[in-house]
Amino acid sequence: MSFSPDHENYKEIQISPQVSDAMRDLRAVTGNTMDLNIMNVKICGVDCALVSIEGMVSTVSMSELIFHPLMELEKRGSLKPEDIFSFLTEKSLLAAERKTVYNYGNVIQFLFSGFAVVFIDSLKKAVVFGIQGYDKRAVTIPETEQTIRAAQDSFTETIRTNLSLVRRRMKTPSLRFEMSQVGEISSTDVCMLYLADRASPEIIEKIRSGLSSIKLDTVLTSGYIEPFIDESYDRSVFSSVMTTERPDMVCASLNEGKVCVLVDGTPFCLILPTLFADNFRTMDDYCNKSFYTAFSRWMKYASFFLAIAFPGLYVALVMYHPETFTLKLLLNLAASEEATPYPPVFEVILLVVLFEIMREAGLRMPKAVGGAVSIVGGLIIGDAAVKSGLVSAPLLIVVGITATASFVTPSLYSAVSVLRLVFILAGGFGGLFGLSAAMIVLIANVNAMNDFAVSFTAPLTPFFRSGVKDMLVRDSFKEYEKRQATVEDFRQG
Amino acid sequence: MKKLTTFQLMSIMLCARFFSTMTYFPFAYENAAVYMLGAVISTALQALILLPAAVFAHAFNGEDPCGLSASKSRVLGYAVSALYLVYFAFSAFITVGDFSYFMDYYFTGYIPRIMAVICSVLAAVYIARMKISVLGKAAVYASAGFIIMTVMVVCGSISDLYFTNFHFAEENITDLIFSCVKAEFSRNGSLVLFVFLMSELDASKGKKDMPISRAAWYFLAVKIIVLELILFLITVILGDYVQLARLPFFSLAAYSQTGIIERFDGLFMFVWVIIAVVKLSAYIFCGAKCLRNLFPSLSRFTSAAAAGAVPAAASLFFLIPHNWERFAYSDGGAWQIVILTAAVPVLLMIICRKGGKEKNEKKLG
Repeated sequence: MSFSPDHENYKEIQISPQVSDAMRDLRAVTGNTMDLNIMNVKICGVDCALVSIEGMVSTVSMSELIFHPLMELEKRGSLKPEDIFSFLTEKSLLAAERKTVYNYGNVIQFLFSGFAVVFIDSLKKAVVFGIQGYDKRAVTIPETEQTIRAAQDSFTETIRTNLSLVRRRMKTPSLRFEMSQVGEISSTDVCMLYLADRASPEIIEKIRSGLSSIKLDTVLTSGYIEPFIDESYDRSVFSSVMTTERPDMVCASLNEGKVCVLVDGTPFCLILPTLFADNFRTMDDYCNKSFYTAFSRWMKYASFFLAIAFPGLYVALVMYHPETFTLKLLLNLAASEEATPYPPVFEVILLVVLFEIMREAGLRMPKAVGGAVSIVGGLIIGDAAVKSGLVSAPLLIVVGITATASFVTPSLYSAVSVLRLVFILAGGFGGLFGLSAAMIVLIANVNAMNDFAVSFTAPLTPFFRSGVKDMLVRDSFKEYEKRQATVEDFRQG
Repeated sequence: MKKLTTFQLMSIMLCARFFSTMTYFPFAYENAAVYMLGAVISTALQALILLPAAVFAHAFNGEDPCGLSASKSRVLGYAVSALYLVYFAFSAFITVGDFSYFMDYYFTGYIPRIMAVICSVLAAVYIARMKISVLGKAAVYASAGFIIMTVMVVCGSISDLYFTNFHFAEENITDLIFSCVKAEFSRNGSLVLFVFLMSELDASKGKKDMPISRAAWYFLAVKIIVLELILFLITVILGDYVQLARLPFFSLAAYSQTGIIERFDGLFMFVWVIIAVVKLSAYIFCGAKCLRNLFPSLSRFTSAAAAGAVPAAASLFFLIPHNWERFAYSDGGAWQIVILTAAVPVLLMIICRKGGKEKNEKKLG
């Protein structure tokens, strides 16, 4: 093509054979952006240019892996352009990643991914070298999924670092990484991970087509792509896509035939398809004996129930069914509620909303200030609210237990916080009738989730004997030796 | 998953039966022990009635009567669908009316009848517009809730068993047993649900060898065991009080207590509402399917909404002026269950075989 490229039409245009023209084109495409670093150099009598983006490449690597070998090449005297190209691509090992590119679309893609590009005069192609050197966060301990005995590393924002964290735990050739770019403007790297001999080809294909269907301008976090791969995204409060920042959790999921998706710039990995029971599983479960894991899991199930239904149940019983309480408890409750001016439903909503405000404030504030917010909220406001007679003491205990319980299953927090309010309203305005109606609708909603033909509520409904034991108490490792269950077991036609 | 498992279909049928068990008991003015005997005889009769349906299911690989009749003749298909639609609409009408009436009259007075009807129908339509597997799974949870609640109620009242309350000392015991058999039979609309929903059973994953009617046999077995257990406990715990209590199982729950919970009627009501919504959803789902057979252009949501709204509106017509008593304590009709469970399948089998023979003769000719 003869016309000069600009930032809209550059993608398919072939690289100009003259280095000076190619540099002119690059400047035109990038609007001569200040971080475009072009170094014109004559090697063995041939005009060449080394192009990189400031701050994206390692200057040390560039010096050692590109400058130095090229200067050594200079000693050989006069060479043809093809000989230089051959040296760069076939007769040297200048960098771990090396590719030949033919159009400006690929040049720009690699430049902005931290590659250096070498243009050689009279050639309609260029060579790119992976010498990325941008600043990145180190691998640190997981912030949201802490464990006691399991691994203490977590994903970072750099996709390649994350891939290495998975690869070094799964030394098998069947572990496949499929990289693609999504986002018209951001061209974000997205990588699909799966074990070829475990994951269902149908699930892989569905996710692959879901990713390729994304037409967003930018993909800045994994949340952007969730709606495209989560089939029940708009139909349920729960998500059939789980996120984790733990590489070991990703490996465990891959072993179960699940597919994981890593997004560059996000320290969380998407896992799908997931089951409801997966939200109650931690890597510590596999470090403790079965009896303790069973105890721990049941605590989590109970906590989930408390987190969504306890305040609603309390309100329903206090307001409409006080006869359910034993006499002593009933008298105590009556005495405390007597002293407050508002109905229990209003008190609970007030406290729950207050708690959510404090949680949000604590979350967004610097850590030191966040602690102070918790103290002010928990101790001072709570104590003052009871003393002033605004809310009753038993109700404060109920909300406190609920708030604590909701942190036991962090992956369900968003669903829990909304459902809790729904149940409070249902219990407050409809008593146990309202709670029952809300419960059956919730049960139906959860049971309707059937992404990739895997029931979200499996292995309970539909019932799979092999999976239920692992869900309730965790199978022994001897059982895992015999047979590793995969999501394929729970797929229905 | 699009289809039902055997366990899920059985759970739907159980929910439909458990709702009746938890609500009104026709033996309130009679002897519970006699009703136990009547229930056993009635269940045996139900098994007999189910035989044609089982043969039908086997012969036509689980196709439902509406689908089969429509494949033979358009008019016949419309007629059979209309027949089932009337039954399911009437059953939904009775279920939603009973639900609202007993909620208001016995369980709790703080929910206006109109609100009870609206809320239950909305929830049921929400479930019925989804795939049948959603209803099946919800029924499994509801049945599990019923069993857990029953165990808790029993545990709370186990110390008050008086076996002397259990006796057959009645005059005209034969007449009594007959009336109990009839009453128990008429409370098993689940059998019609089975005939209609057997086409939804999953036969895709190596289950082809299993008889499709297995769900019905399991239902009968579980139903009679649970029913006999509840009747026995009601008899030996409540004694002659059952003659006064029209909802004896509810009375037992209210009587039952532990050191933590003073009475279990709240828990009973919680489960009762869930079971009622599941039962109503099943009838609305089936009614909506019949509607779609008659009017194929209707969407799932529209058909479910229509199948729920009409019975709800009709029930309000009687509930608001407090005229529901005429339906609330009636035994219902056993004849329509016999017609829809046995007679229709038998007739369809005869028609289809005759059609098949005629076709064969034509081929030979």
